[in-house]
Amino acid sequence: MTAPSDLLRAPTVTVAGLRKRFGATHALDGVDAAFEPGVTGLLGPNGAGKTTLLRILATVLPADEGSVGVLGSDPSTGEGRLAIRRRLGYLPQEPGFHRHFSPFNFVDYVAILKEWADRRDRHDEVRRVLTLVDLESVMHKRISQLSGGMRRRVGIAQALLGHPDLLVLDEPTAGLDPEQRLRFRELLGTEAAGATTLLSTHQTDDVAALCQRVVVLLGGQVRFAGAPSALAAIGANRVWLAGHRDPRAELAWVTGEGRVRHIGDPPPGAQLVEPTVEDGYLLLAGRTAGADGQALVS
Amino acid sequence: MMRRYASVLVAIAAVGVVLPFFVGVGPTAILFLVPLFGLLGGVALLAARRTALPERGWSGPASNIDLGTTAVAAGPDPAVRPPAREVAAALARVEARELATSPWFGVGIGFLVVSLLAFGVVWGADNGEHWSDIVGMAPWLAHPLVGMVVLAAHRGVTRARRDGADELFDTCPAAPTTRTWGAIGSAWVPVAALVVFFAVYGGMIALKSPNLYGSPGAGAVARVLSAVVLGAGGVVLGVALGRWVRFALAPIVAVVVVGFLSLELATYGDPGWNRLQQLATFPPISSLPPVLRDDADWSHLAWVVALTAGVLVIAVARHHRDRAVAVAGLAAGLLVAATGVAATRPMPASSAARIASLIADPASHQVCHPAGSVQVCVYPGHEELAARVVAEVRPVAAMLPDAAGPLTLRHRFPGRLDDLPPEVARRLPAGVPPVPADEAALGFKASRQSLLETRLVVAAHVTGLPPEAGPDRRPLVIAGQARGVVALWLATRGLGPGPTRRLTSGRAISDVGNGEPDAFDRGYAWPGCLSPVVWSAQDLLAARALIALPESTVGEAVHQGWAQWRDPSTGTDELLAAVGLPPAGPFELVAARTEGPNC
Repeated sequence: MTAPSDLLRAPTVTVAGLRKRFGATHALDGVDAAFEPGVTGLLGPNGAGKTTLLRILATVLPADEGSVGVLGSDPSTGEGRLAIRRRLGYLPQEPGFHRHFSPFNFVDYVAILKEWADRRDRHDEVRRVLTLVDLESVMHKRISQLSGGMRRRVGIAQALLGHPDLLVLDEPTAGLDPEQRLRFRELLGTEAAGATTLLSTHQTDDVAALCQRVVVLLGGQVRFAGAPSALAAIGANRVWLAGHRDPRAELAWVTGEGRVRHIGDPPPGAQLVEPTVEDGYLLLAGRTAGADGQALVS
Repeated sequence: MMRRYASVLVAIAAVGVVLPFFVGVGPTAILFLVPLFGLLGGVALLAARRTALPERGWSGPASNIDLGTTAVAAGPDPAVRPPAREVAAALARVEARELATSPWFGVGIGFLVVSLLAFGVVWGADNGEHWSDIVGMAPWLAHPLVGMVVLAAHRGVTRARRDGADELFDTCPAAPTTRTWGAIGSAWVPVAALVVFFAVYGGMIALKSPNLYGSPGAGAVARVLSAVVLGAGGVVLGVALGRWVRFALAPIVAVVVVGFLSLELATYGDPGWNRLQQLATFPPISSLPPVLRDDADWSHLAWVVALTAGVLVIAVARHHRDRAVAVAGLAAGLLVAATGVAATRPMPASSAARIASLIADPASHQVCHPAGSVQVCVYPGHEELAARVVAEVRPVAAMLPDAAGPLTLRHRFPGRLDDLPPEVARRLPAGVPPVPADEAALGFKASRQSLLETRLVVAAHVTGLPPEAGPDRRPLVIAGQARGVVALWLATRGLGPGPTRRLTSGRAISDVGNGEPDAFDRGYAWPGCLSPVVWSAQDLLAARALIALPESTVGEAVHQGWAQWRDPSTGTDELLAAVGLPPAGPFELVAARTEGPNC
């Protein structure tokens, strides 16, 4: 017998053997993954395939090979795409804005495209999401007058319209200052409750703070899938501090305290420190660069 | 938003400043237009100055918003799709706002404003046509706006792609066809603009053009409706282009091509009559008077509607191809073919017979109105014009001697047989009947200039001068001839000093050379172009001297020597001597010129 909590954690988005090619470039090369309700972070260097994966899940791109299931629908069919789109909130990596629109008018336009035909309800919802991102005081100004961070918040607001069941956010915190990133985490914690949220980011501290799961994509393939703590654990006993740079380290940098933080195989007697998600990710990326090629799934 | 409106106003200002130079509005009109539009544009620019907003931090939602308990408005149920028409209607409201504030649409409105000022205000007093001719210009007047609407609609449809928002919008459930319908739904904006324009324009014309006469008739309604439908057609064409050809120059190319084709069609077969002209989006303004026409106005309206429907199906078919669209496409194609045939159909036999009879035997169809010894005979529906002509020529007729004999000013077909539809021409085997010796052709315009010309026609006829230009368009030179001066004196009876000066003054600017008037220009006193005669400057001076004398003095001399003054060999100086005035000669040698084809 399946417990209700297990049902809640059942995957809502699955991909198997997913491949996508752009000319000679294999953006996705056999991706297998399952995403559950909650926030999942996608980590990976530029060109790893994060955006391609998110665009396929958001019904922007078709897959070349493999199967995809999103919220019980198949995005390769018209009916499936429609069903997904009705439950989707999407923030593209580089969302285009009608710069002469106001934030209100832009989000309102997206809401109409999301089939909110009733004007009063729609306007209430537009005001709600703009208030969530603290843009209510400028929602009738032109978008062209807003800063990059404020525009990003307009993008986040439109993605939150109507509490979507699936939130696909491609680098949502790019361009946000530290305070705004914190606010974003706070917002996502409440607004995305119960939804399946996939976000790609280069900010490992966002992943650590926000995500219940993290998927690391490297070279179009999944190299890690598990809890952020598991990703951090890859760095267990492999991160240490020293007074000066050790040439045996894979990576080393001077911290704010003037000491040098190392990642790699520590020398005997090294002052080991607690690894972070970033340490684990860097070690994983470095290992893959070394053609280890073994995916880690926890 | 203000910046967009500023763009609109600046565009209007630009049109207002530039257009008069192209259409030839006089300096006074330019002075009238430039400050007005300049002021509008300047104020708009000042109002539209905007700077970037200071960064507003994300300090959390407003205190009255509880993140944990915020109520979400009742959104669309994913399981129940709302009717696409409701979504399209909501999109249409947005697209209508965007279209109305588009700079391109603003330029189109600018064209309408300039048309309103130019034809309604600046040249309003010059209008003297039948009302149906004025209203019939509606499709022409609408075209500049329609062209701009095509551009604006295309930019509206391609806005998402241009701004990089396609990816986001494509992940929304509203189908591309719904978005197409939303864009098409903004068509009411140019339709409303044109309705308002024609209402204001009509009111302005009614106020400023007291010389218009007649009633517009049902055909005029069709013309106005055609113009209004063209407004919607502009949106549909822009949307179709945007859906199929996203290339930014596509609408410009389309507008130029459609404009060129329409112009070619509207003038196809000129000079002369050709039924294909009715396929132009702006049907030609016929030179024939309304009573001698049987315009296919309603067929043309149906043609424009069919074209719009056809393009609409093409727009929708970009993203939606099913049986219903195929059937709609087939129906639209059939409609286009049927209305095209209807618009270019041969004239009905009854209409052709009626018009042929009106031309062949005008007297049997006309009602005559006496003005002394002059009869003014007009076709039915022209009674207002007859009353004005009677009032105009009565003082002239009152000064005619009995020896001048009776004269009939009669409405006649003013063109050649080739200008008529073949169905009518076939019914005139003897051709267009010539004007009898005791008659002169009466024009169909009631403008001040036309009425002054009518005075001269009467005076020219009774003094033995040709009352209208011959087929060679070369006026007869009557420099130094007494009959020309007598004609001018007669024509100015009962006129005030202004019109009198106008009828006795030559051209200040020449149509040829460097604009300096020559002897021909200095003796050209006929109010319009295509003068049948040309005086010398000395004759015009003599006429003014004669006019300055007491009317009884000159009248007595004219009556007593009527036969002498009608003789071409009698000189102007002899006439002056008869009333005690010094001679005006020597007279300039005037060489007659052929008037241009546009005259």
